[in-house]
Order: sequence, then structure tokens, then C-alpha cells
Amino acid sequence: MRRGSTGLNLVSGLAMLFLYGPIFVLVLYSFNAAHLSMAWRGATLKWYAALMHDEALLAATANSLLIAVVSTLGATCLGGLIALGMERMPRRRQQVIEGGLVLPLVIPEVMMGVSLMLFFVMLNMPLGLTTVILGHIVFNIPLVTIMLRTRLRKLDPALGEAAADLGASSWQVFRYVTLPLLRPALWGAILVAFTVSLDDFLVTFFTAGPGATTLPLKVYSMIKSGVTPEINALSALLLVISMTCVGLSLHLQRREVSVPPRLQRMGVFFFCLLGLAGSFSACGQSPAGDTAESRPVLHYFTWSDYVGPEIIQEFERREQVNVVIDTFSSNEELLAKLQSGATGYDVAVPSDFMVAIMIQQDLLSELDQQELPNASLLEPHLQSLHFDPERRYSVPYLWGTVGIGYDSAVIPTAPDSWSILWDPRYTGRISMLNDQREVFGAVLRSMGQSMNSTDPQVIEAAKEQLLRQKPLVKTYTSDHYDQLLASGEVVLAHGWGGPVARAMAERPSIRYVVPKEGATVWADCLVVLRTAPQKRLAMRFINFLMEPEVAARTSERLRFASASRRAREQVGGSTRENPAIYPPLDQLDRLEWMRDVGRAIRLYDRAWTELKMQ
Amino acid sequence: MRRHGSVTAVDEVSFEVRRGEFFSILGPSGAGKTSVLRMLAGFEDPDEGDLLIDGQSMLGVPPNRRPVNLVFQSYALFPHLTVFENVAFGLKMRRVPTPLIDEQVCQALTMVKLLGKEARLPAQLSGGEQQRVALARALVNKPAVVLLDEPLAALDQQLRQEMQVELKSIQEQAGLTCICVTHHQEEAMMMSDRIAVMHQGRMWQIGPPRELYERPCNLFVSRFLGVSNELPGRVGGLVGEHRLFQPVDDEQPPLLVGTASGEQAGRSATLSLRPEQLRMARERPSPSDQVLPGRIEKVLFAGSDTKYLVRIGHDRLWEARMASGADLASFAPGEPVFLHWSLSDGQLFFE
Amino acid sequence: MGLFFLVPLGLVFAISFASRGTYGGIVWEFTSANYLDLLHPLYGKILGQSMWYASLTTAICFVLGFPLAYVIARSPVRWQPIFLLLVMLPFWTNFLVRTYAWMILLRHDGLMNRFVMALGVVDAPLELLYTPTAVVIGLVYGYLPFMVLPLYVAVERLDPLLVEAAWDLYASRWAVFMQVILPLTKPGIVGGCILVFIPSIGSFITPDLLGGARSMMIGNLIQHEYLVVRDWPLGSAVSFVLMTVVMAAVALYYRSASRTDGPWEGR
Repeated sequence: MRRGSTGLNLVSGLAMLFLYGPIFVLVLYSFNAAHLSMAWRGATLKWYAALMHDEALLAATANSLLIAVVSTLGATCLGGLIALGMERMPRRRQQVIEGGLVLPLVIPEVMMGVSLMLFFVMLNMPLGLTTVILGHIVFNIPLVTIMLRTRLRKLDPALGEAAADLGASSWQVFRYVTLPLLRPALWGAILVAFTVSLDDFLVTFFTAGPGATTLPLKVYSMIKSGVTPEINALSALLLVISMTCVGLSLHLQRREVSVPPRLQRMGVFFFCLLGLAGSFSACGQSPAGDTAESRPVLHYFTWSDYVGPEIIQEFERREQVNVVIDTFSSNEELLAKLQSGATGYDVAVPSDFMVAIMIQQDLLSELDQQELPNASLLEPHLQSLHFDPERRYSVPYLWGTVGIGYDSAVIPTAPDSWSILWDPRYTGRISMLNDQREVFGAVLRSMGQSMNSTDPQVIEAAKEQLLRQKPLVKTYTSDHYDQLLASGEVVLAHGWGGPVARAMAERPSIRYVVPKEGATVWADCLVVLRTAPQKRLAMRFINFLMEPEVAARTSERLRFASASRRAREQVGGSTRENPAIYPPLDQLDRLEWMRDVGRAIRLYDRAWTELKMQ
Repeated sequence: MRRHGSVTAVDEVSFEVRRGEFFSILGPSGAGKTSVLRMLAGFEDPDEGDLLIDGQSMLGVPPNRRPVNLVFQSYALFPHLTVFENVAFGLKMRRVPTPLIDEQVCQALTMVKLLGKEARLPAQLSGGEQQRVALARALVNKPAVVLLDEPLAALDQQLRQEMQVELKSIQEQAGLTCICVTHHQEEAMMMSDRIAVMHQGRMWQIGPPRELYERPCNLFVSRFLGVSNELPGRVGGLVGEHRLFQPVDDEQPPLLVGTASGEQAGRSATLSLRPEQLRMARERPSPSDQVLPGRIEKVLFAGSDTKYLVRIGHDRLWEARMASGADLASFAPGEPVFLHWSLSDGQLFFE
Repeated sequence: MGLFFLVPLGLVFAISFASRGTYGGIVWEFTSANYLDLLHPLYGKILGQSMWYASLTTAICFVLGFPLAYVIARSPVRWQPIFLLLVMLPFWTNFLVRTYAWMILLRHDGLMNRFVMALGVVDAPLELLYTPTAVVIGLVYGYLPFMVLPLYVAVERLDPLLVEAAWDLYASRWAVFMQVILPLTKPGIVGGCILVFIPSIGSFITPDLLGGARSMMIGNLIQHEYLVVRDWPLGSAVSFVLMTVVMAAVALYYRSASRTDGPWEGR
């Protein structure tokens, strides 16, 4: 027995357990029958089956792999060159560059993403896979360089000189001396870069162009429709594949004696295979692959799963076109992207207040009413909205309210007032939206004020109310209160109707109510962008989505109300009668639209920050 | 006993080292010497058996609690510490008061003649100086045993010889108990009070250098500790007080050996002679000596003495050594010659 | 390539002196109001709290990551890449799904609570999810590999004989670690700490999901200003302050590192 490793092995074992514990849960829940993954509802393989048919998700995965592989290779080469170059510099200069290398790590990722996007737009580079790869290379270079420097800084220069003395060219010195000595660091750098690239969201979002949606983009933008265990299944599959490769290489290793170079080759091979697989499937679905048939391509910029794949296929068949879907996960992301000059998208789905801003910023194209006969079938109260009274730029698509989801098994009498959220009996069993305007909106309505108030004293008073409420609140969340309700973790949730309706499907005792003091009404609208390459096709697409039968199917699927009056007539009774999905028309007068409050936003912002930091 | 996987690296090793003794473990590489040393230092534990220092069992005692210090073959000087800090390391770890540390480190550095270089980093020293630092770093702790792992292997020939003398004198001066591991037999013989010859995980013989050289217990020890001129044969009947030795090769005349006993009669054995025990003559020498005829194959002049390689029969090459110039006219290659030795000199090894 | 670093930096700096337009966006009127706004103690509190979380995360990552890196670096050479891969593999799954997995583990009647209750450590389930503890767990989880890899690289280069030498010279394990291993693996430690500290101070999803958004880290604030309030100038000012603080910390770190890191080091 060798001394001195028991304690170390123990901690290492614990660390590995820590790393793989959540992974075990993740894989386990990929077999969960429940749609909302927090509660366990028995085993199923349906998510794997669904995954096999989800071409968009598979394509996004392929994109992710391709981008990760190429950018890792690029960053490793460039980062390696920088690290090697730095070795030859005077010490002072090295330190300066070292500091500079840390900078991109410190710059907030949003800013990094936005400025890279601006930069590409400035250079007139069309956003796409190439720009994403470049973006990833940029943020991976510092990681690679830092990793390599930890090793290079202690490399004996005499070794290189010895090799040169033995007749090695500088390339040979690099290839046969420096590279093998750097191997451990190189492995580390490649792993870090690959991992970071594979899971990056913000830089990817901003540098991605039409048709370059990656897996994280897809997953983050699922918050409207809910993240399904399909993603768990996909993650589990990726894990199993990688594990198999590791196992295989282990097996091969055991059979041959001197393996390091072989293993290396295998690693490179595995890596290239991943890249190839990625690029093949990326090409398979990319618009470029189809231009041979020269079918026009429509780019639709939306939330993940905001439209059923069969609906898209129907449109493609009918119009002999291809539809490429790209996703965003917040209105502000959409705005930032369009404001910076990103082009190529035809149709987008901003929410009401964002439509107002986009009109004001001249980002939208005027609609051709002749092409939109179905737009006249709107619900009466949605026909003339404050931000676009004549519907020159937008067509309401889906709409709904914000209210309270509650568990009637715990709260038998329907709460009719926001004040239930201040009821100490439910301490620690309440969730609020993680959205400053919505949270303040609820309080302001309960105070009898407008939720668009700009009066500092009113906002201050609202903040006091919220501070009183904070000890009762379990969590502020906008993206998983459906799960919390469904698993019984909370019994009262401030939220949008759709997710509450999803929770109902899992736990039938869940109910939804819009308090009598009034609440937010919202509408996501279809718009055609000013820079749209396919304007006429875009109009036809919008008209298609508003067809009563198509709209009804969308509404059923997403559990949001369609803005089409005729769709309401066509959806199933259980959907139409569900107040979480279709707000009862007699409640319309208590609803208020959220409007931009201009500079008063800083009042809300400060109050919100104070609430959080209390 | 100590096993590396299925290979037993060290098997049934048992020895005792006296206080103040310089004890060497000598063996070819792979003999298991380093394993013994690592067990002594406490980096590894024996799978069986015990280890006592001053009567106390060291089993399960970690290296930092053992009164033993190791001088590493590669020195293992801490690259981030100065010479002084390196030497002071052990004292600091035992929380010796600072003034005492200063004093003892200075003493140790004086002993290894490194005073004045205490502020340097190891990378700024020559190989010999690094060796001295490594030595001082161990000595300064006044350990019960200093362990030396091939202490001079990394030095060049001349430095090595100087250090052999110096190391020995430091050891004697300070009364240190040393256990040294080496594959260099000359070094071991020069410095050690006693040597243990190790091969294939076993200790074959333990004793003072002279005894080992002159009375090796087997052919391996004999060969490892110098040149062994060998002749295989069979022990025969009694001739007077001595026994007959019949070489395997029938062309050779029967010889007499002085040491064989009655029960060894009829057994195969190998006769071994040291080069310096052999004498050479052009004429057949007096019958009291044992004689083998041969032919000079090569003459190697090595300064103070000259080596002669002599072919005996077809396939045996013996080495004889004679002081240069002391003798009559020197022999030339190709010359027939008689090798002879006194009856008491040859040693028999039985299979 | 330098352009790619400098353009964002310049942009952040320039915008931090502009004003927010009525509808968000940027109005190019020079003002230092954004910085003056940041003097409010509220932001100091956010910065302080974020530094505390990030430091704690870095420290825990180090405590967990060092033994792991050490064991990997001391394992047979041909196994090393595989062990490293095993450390990284969990992170090839989607971040959001991974975080949800933690929520499942940490919730009131989640696996973690059942486990500690089965062990008899506690009688009642612990409140883990939506607490600062959960945030730190999440951050440690997210950035542990970024500590392990540079440490592995550094330890791999450390001569094991030096450890034995120190041990032989009466150093306890702790002293071996402090006096020999730590100083000799410093570049890796510095690298690892930078790779953990910086991203964890800027993280925003973990505090929201695991911390229940009951508090704010500076990453949340920046994200909030950019992508919710659309107050880019204020967001840029916060970013710039953060960058300055972090760069100062890093510079200090390097200075202390380079003092012992003389040109003669290494063998």
C-alpha cells in the first residue's frame, strides 16, 4: 500500500459524487411521465420517442456540436499562438497582456454579445453560423491562453534549445518538444473551451443569424411553452454517447500497452466525428441545402415551440416554401438584436408593449391588409389596441391575463383579491413573478392605482407593501411556477394563465383566478420586420397563422387564448371554459395593458432592487 | 516483504545497522534497493515484517514522525526556497526556535562548505553544490539514520571521488548512522563499514567490504564485487589433505582445491579466482601452486597496473592483473603462458 | 483579435456616460449620473454580497477541486485524459436542465433531504432550495471543473519527490501542502481562481433559480439593467465598476504571485 492518499481519494470521490449527483437526477427524470419535471409521475420512454421526431431540436443540437468543435479548434490554435508568443516577450509586457486577457472574462456576457453583434453588422458580415463560431472563439481564447500559460510559464527553454541544437526546425521543435510537453494543458484547454462553447447562451444569441439556432437558444426560449423532459432525454443521450466513447477508448487502451499517442489520435478522431456529424445535419436542415430546389425561405423569429411543427409543415406544403424558425427568450433580447441591425428575419412575435417600442423605433413594416383577410376575424376587444389602433403594423396572435394560480385542495374558497398573497397562513408557499413591472402591477392594482403609475410616492408605497410580503414569498420566478404548483411546492402563484393551465393538467386541483382589483392583459402580436427579405410571403404566413382552424390548434397546444374570434369557437370546450386559457369576457373591464413608463422605469427599478436586497 | 502488484519487489530482507555505522545496500538496478529505502523512510509500508529504529517499531509511523532523513538521488531541493530555507526546512517543521535554526543551519552549511551561498536558489547552484545542500538538509536534523539514495550518481567522476571522501569524513566526524543505496560497488566498498548485496529482492550477503570481496557466498556476489575468473568442474577424491577438482573441459589437467569437505565430493562446482590472486609465468612454476596453461589474448595498460586477458582452453577468458613495470619483460599478445595460484586462494561455489 | 476585446470594452465605457432614452436605447448626452446613482449604498451592498458569494464559491471549489486535481494528476498517465473528460462530461448537458436537477435534489421533500433524514442527521427537512446555500452550491457546481483543470495542469508538473522530501523532513501533511505544494502550483491556483471567481460574480441564472431571486447578485443587476429595464447606460456603469474591481483584484493577485515567482524558478 502506498501512503498518503486515503484522505485525498475520499474528497475526490465526494467531488465526483457531487458532479454526478444532479446528472443522475437529470437522467432519471428523462423517464418521468410528467410534463413538468419536478414531480415524479411514473416511468415512460415517450420523451425519447418525441425527441426522435423533433427535427428542430436535433438540428439545434447538431448546430451546437458543430459550433463547439470548430470554435474549440480555432480558439486552441489562436490561444496557443498567443501563449507561445507571450513566452518570448519581456516580463512586464507579459503581465500587461495577461491582464488584457482577463478582460473579456470580466465584460458582462450581454455586453460581449451585443458589441460583437454590432461589430459584425458594422463589417457587413451576415450573421450566421460563422459569426457564432467567431464569437465563441473570441470568448474561448482567454480561457485557452490562461490554461496553457499555467504550463508554459514553467517550461524549461533549454529543452527547445536542445532540440534546435539537435537539428530540429522551429516547426519540429514545436511538434516534437513543445507540443508533447504541453499535452496535459492542451487537453484541459480543449475540454474547457468545448464545454463553455457547447452551453453558451448570450453571446450565441446575439451573434447568431437566421438558421443558426443552437441547443441552449432553443432551451432558454422554451420558457413560454415550458421546458420538457425531452431536453433531459437529449442530455441523457448525449451523455450516454460520450460515455460510450470514453468506455470504448478505455477498452482499446487496456488491450494495447503504449497508448498515449493512440489515445490522442482517438480523441482527435472522436472530436472530428462530432464536428462532422454536426456539420452534416446542420447542412441537412440549413436553408443552403434547399436552395437547389430554389424554394423561397421564410425566417420566423419566435419563442420555442410557439407553433406546432405540423402547422409549419402544412404551410410549407401549401406555399412550396421552407420556414426556418429561430428563437428568443425575452422581448428585450429581440429588441436589442433588431436595434443593432441584425437582418434576415421576416416575421416576429413581440408582446404588446414591445410592439409599441418597435413601432416607435421604426423596426416594423406596414402590413398589407389586402393580404390579411383573417385579421378581420379578431376578438372585438383586440381589434384596436392602444399601441397600434389601426393595426397598421401588428396582428394580435395570442393573448391572456396575469392572475393567481392556486391549489383548491389547500384553499377551498376561491380567493378573489390580491390580498391573499399577503395572508400569513401561506407563508413560504407563495411564488411571485420575477418581473418588476408585473409584481408592482399587482400591488398597484390592489391599492386601486394604475399599474402604469409614474408617481414616486405611489411606487414607494407599493414597495412598502412588497417588503411586507417578501417574508411570505418562497421564490420570485417567471419560468417554473408551473412546476412548483404541480408538485405542491407552492399553493399560490402569481403568474400568466398558460403555465397555470399546464399545472392544472398535472394536478387537477389547481385553479386560476383574476382578482377583482384587476390585472394585466397581454397580447403577443405577429409583425413583419422592416428589413424582411420576404415581405409578401410574411403576410401570407401571418394570414395562415390566423386561419381559425390553425389558430385553434395553436391555442390548444400552447394553452394560450387565440386572438381570433373564430378560433375561440373552434377550440375544445375544456379549453374555452378554462379561465386560465380563455379569460371570461365579463372580466375584460378589470384588465389593464402594461405600458412603457418612460424614465419612470428607474423608480420601479430602484424600488425593485431595494426589495430584492432587503 | 513488499509487493508491487504481483511482483514481489523485496522478499525476506533482514538486517541490522549499528549506531554510527555506514551501511550500504549494493545491487544492480531493479534489485529492490529503493523499495527498502522507501520503507525505511516511511513512504511505503512492508506487507509483512517489522522495522525497528532504536528498538521502536516504525510500522504505521508516517515519514514526518520518523527520526530518519533521506538524501534523494535527484536531491529534490525545493525550487522556490533558498539554500538556507531548504536546509532550515526540517527544523522549522519541528518548530525549533529561530535563533537555534540559524545556528544549526550555519553549522550544517559550514560542514558541507556552502557558507556564503545560503541566499541562492537551487537552480543557481552547480550539481555538486546542490548535492551538498541535499546532504546538509538531511544532516541538520541530526536524524537517527541518514538515508542516501545513490547520493553521488549524478556527479561526474572527479567530483564523485572528492565527495566520497568528504561524505565519509562528515559521517565519521558527526558520528552519523548512514544507510546508503547504490549500484556502484567501488563506492560502496570505499565508504561502507558493512555492505549488503541485494539481488532480485533478496539480500544475499551482509558483511564488511573485505569479507564480501574475499569470501563471497555465491557466484553472483563474487561477480558483482569485482572480476571473477571461473572454471566449472566436479569435486573429486581426497589427495592428501586436499581434494581433486576435475574441470568439465577434459583438456584441462585436474587441480587441487583446499577448502572442499568430504560430503561435497562428486558434486559440480565452479572454481573462482580474483585477478590479483593469479600470477603469470613463461615456464611451468613450482608444483606447490595450482597451474593452468593459457595464451595471452589482450594486454590492457591501465596506468599503475596492467590487465592481461588470457584464453584458457577454447571459450574461457581470464583476467590477471600485475603492477606495471614491476615485473620482468612484459608479456605480449599471443604468447603462451602459465597462470598459477596458491592452493589456499581459489574458492569453490556449488550449484 | 485584440479588436474583439477592445471594441466591447470601449463600448461599455462610452455607454456608461450616456443617458437612457425614453423607450430604452441610448441617448448620447454626456452624463456622470449613472455613476453617481451607483453611490447609493444599495449597490455597494450588491457588490459586497456578490464578492462574498464569489469568494466563498472560489474557496469551496478550491477545497473540493484540489484533491480531485491532485488525484487525477497522480494517476497513471494514460488514465488522466479520461478522468478529465469525466470531470467535464456532466457539463455537456444543458445548463437549465442541470439547474432543474439541482432544484429537484434540494427541494423540501427532495432527495437531499430524504438522504440526510435517512442518515438521521436531521429530524425535519432542511430548507435548502431558495436559500443562499443553494446559490453557493449551484455556483460551486457550475464552476468546479474550471478550478480542477488548471490545478491539474499545475500539479501534473509538480515533482512528487519534492512532496516526499518535505514529508521526510518532518512536515505534516498540512505543512507539506502549505510549504511545498501550494507555492509550487501557484500559477495553476491563480488561473483556477480567476476562472471561477470572475464568472461566478457575474452569474445571474443560478441566483434566480436556486436562490429564488430573493436577492440579487451583481450579474443579476447587470442582466436586469440591460435586458429588462433596457437601461444600458446604468448597466454599463455597473459593468465598468465591476470590471475595475475585478481587475484590481486580479492585479493584486498577480503581484503577490509574481513576487515568489522568480526567473530562476523551476527545474
